[in-house]
Amino acid sequence: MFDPGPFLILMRYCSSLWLKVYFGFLGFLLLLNIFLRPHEPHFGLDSWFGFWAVFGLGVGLVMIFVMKRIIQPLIVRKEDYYGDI
Amino acid sequence: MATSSFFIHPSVGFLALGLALPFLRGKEWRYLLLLPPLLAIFAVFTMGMGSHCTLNWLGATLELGRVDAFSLIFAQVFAVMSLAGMLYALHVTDRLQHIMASLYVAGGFGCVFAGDFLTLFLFWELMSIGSSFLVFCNRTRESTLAAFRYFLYHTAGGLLLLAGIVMRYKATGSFAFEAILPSQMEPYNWLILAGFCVNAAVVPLHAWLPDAYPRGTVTGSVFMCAYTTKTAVYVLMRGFAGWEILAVAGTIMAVYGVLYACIENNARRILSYHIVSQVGYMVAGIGVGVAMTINGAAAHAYAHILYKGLLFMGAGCLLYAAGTAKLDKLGGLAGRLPWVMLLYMVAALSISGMPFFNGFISKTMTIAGAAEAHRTWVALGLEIAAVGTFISVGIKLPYFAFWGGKAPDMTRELKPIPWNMYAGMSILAFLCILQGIFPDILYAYLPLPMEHPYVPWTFWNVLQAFLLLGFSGLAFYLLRRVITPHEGLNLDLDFFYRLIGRLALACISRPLAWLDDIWTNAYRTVGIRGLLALASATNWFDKKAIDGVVDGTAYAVGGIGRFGAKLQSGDLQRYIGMAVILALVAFALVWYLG
Amino acid sequence: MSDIFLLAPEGVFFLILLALFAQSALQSALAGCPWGRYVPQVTFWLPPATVFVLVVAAVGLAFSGNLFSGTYSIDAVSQFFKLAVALGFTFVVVNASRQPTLSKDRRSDYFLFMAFSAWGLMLLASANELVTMYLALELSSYSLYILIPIRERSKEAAEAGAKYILFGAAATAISLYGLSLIIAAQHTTFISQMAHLDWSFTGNPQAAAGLSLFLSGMFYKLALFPFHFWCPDVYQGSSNETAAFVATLPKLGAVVILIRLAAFLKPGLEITTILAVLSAISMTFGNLCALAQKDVKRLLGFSSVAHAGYILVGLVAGTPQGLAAAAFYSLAYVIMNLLCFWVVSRVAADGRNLQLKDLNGLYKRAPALAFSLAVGAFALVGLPPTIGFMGKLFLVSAAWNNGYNWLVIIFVLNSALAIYYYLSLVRHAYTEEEAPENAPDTSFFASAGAVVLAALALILGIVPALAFNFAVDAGAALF
Repeated sequence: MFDPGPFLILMRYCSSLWLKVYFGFLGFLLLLNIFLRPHEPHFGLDSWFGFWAVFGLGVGLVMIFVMKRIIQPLIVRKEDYYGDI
Repeated sequence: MATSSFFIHPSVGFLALGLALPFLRGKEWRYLLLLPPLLAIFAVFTMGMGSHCTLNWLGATLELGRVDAFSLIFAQVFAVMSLAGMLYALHVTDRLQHIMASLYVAGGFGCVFAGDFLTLFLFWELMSIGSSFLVFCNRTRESTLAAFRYFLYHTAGGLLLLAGIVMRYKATGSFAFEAILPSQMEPYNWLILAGFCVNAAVVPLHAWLPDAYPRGTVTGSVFMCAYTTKTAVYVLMRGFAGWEILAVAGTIMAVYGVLYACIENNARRILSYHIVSQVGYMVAGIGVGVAMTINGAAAHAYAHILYKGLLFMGAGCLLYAAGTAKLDKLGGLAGRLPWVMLLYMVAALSISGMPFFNGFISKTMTIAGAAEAHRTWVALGLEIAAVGTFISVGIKLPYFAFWGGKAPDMTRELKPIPWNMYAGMSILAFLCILQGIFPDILYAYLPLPMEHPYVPWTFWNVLQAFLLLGFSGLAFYLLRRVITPHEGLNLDLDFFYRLIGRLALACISRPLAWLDDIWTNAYRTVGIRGLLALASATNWFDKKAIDGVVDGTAYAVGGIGRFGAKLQSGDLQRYIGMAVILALVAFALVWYLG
Repeated sequence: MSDIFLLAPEGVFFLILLALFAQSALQSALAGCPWGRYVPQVTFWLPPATVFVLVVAAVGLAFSGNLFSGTYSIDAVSQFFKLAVALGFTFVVVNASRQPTLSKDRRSDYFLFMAFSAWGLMLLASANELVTMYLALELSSYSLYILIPIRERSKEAAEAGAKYILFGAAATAISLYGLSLIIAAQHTTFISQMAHLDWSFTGNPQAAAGLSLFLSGMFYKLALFPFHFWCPDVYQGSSNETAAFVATLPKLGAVVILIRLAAFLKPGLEITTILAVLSAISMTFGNLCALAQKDVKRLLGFSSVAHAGYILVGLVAGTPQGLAAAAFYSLAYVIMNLLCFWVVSRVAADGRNLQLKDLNGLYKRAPALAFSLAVGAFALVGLPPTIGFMGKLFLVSAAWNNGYNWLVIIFVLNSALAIYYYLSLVRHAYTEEEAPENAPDTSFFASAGAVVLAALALILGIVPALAFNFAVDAGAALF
């Protein structure tokens, strides 16, 4: 049975290469977005160039930051807070 | 396909298995586990449309087999999932788990085919029992308490449903389970809706899900993630399509779920919050109510069962092998569990809506439908949820489980994962990819006809998906140190459930305890003495008077009997003589005196 | 010619008789001959053959016709009783296939005569004319006379056989005398013609007396007081399995005749009053005597006397429901008694007579048998949900307000009286501990048969409708 395990461990050592591939892919997508736009935009704005990229990045950043740095400190308790463990 | 009258109820096999398992001996019963799913798949593909198995019970008509496009698509995915789930659970030797899983799946099928509320309620409660036990079967203190809370909560939900059903019967005179129009705002319809929403984990009634699912057994949670919530989606789809409140609630659920998933530590709890989120998509689709969103919800349910099952299976494999599902304790396992990682990623990419996987063909339909119906906020909310989904389930979970920025962990002890778990995961992964590439095999089963068929594979759709997901991934990369999971319990609305529970208990038990104290005192001083006196009086009466009469009569009758038996002397001449004489005397008496 | 198919149950049974006869007659010849070993044992092939007869009888339930110049009628009553006889015979044969007191060389003879007796009962069920009835009755009785003494090394069996023959001879002599009086008075022996004639003592004393005497033969078969004296002795003397046959099937024959005759015995006629009086005395006497018994078969013998009384309660009512209740109760009685005798035969694995103390501790030694005995005892008492309760319920509801309410009251009181000795069976099986040394037969065969009979007793008690409605239609057809 083919075992991809060692291959994956190897890949970790070239993780910077994978990152470069990834950023290149993102750039390629942005390039495509100049030419390719939706025919029927869902809410007007989304037919603008780069809307979805900004949306994805922005929402992601806001979400992670707000939840992890602001909300979680307010609601986190120790594991056994309710006494059920 | 088949004649319209052919119908085997798919739960029959599961009920039979559940009832027979306690009595089977030996080790061969394992092979029986796959038979009910196979039977169910056969049944689903050969059953004819229409109404089957109607019974008359105490004056009400029960319809056990309503087959139409809605129930068929859900039944089909339930059947496929049951096969994958049973295969995944083949290694489990604890029979109780199998019995309860069988009953649970049987309940799911029963709900899907129920044509009237009574049948629905019966199977609803069966599902509730089955799933409570699946949580309990871990046999730790934590699981037992979780199972108890789960059962209490679901019973309460079931009671809401029952109250609604009974009130509805009184008002309308029928138990038939049909669509309830949004204009019919009667209280009993709200109660039924509330009962359904408990199972559908609609915020704010959702907190049971992240409480119980992570504490279930490895294989039990796989079953649970598929059936309870999807049955609820089915009944909402049938009963409450077009209700505005569902559109709002669904969008809130979708976003709420991913927000919590971003900060959770336990892998299975992340997935549980995701269920809330994904079901939010479906509920929102049902709430919007147009054909494309309802179809989208059905398609999403189908795809969701497949990839969610696979996600839970993957997380279950981690739990099984490493003994923990907590992300801060895992990491560096990609090299040692490569297939788990790969199969997990298939599901992770599906749930995120990556093209080539089935999430892409179902999520986008719902969002497009919502946008076309000019529900901009719904569509926007669902897109936000899509971002969060990819960040938490698509990247965070696998990253911290399999890599986590740590070196490959070669020293940790991992239990070897049995072949059947891989087999179960492979089936689901295969289907996820197949449906992603050939969307029509799913679209063929969609319940409602649409004006123009939805085509997911357009250049723009693909590009938009990649853009959204790619840049969400970038957000993760930039904030990867911020999002690192830490051990801790995040308070959710179950804080209030427990509070209400404890308050209710105090309100009831304190006054009752006070009353009981008074009563016990009275009882001890006055009651017992009086009772003992009465008892000795009755005893005397019984012995002297009653026994005397009864025993006396009995002895007397016995004495007569002994005397009569003496007539049976054994002497033949005497027999014949007595027979003839007695007979003639009797005849004569009657003839002459009668 | 197609009428021959109406005789299918008896016909198939007759073929079995021929086979039994051949096996029995050629027994010694077959033993000497080299291929004689390949001829199957009677106990091997007879049970399946009886099941086949049962199936044919069930198929024949719908037959109807009138053969042999009106003396042999095939109607719902006759087919019901043929089915009951076939059912009882099947169980008796299976029971008797394991008989420790029956030697191998007597086996085919034994079953031949048992089959003859049962066949005679089938003919009796269809007999519609007094002489035919008498002949069928005699065929059944003579075969039974031979059966009783077949018990290895037992003088008591021979004594029981002698008592049975001589008592039977006296009873049938009285019966024939009554028949002659009937012929003289009514000039006919066809029941269909007798229905319209006068039977009251004031109007036609010779006929009334004749019929009363003729019925004595039936009372003897039914073990009704005062013709019951043979009953306990014969049950005790014959082997357990033979007693199972004697206790159950001949009663069916007697009941079917009484049912045919009861169609014209209106309440108020002296004959009907005689039936009622004898029924009351029989129940009371049977129950009282049974209280004192220690031998299980004697106890069951006296209980048969009491049950004969119970069955007659339905007959005096004079309505189709009453006749149906009597028919149903006789079927119930056969099943309940077969159940008790099955357990007795299995517990006495060496074929001895069981005393009550031989049942001690049965619940531990043979739980299935103990449970089935309990079901049988409760059925005989008439507790729900057994078939005994249903039968008694039908009897009471049919007989009430038909002129014999005093009889119904005595019936109910007697049911209460009987509880003592039936439950003492259960008491010994379940609460007494010191067990005798001889172990009961606890094989699968024993438990399976007991459970099947117990299930029949319970199922027909819970859903009696099928059998009872058939009986009601049969009874209505007679009026």
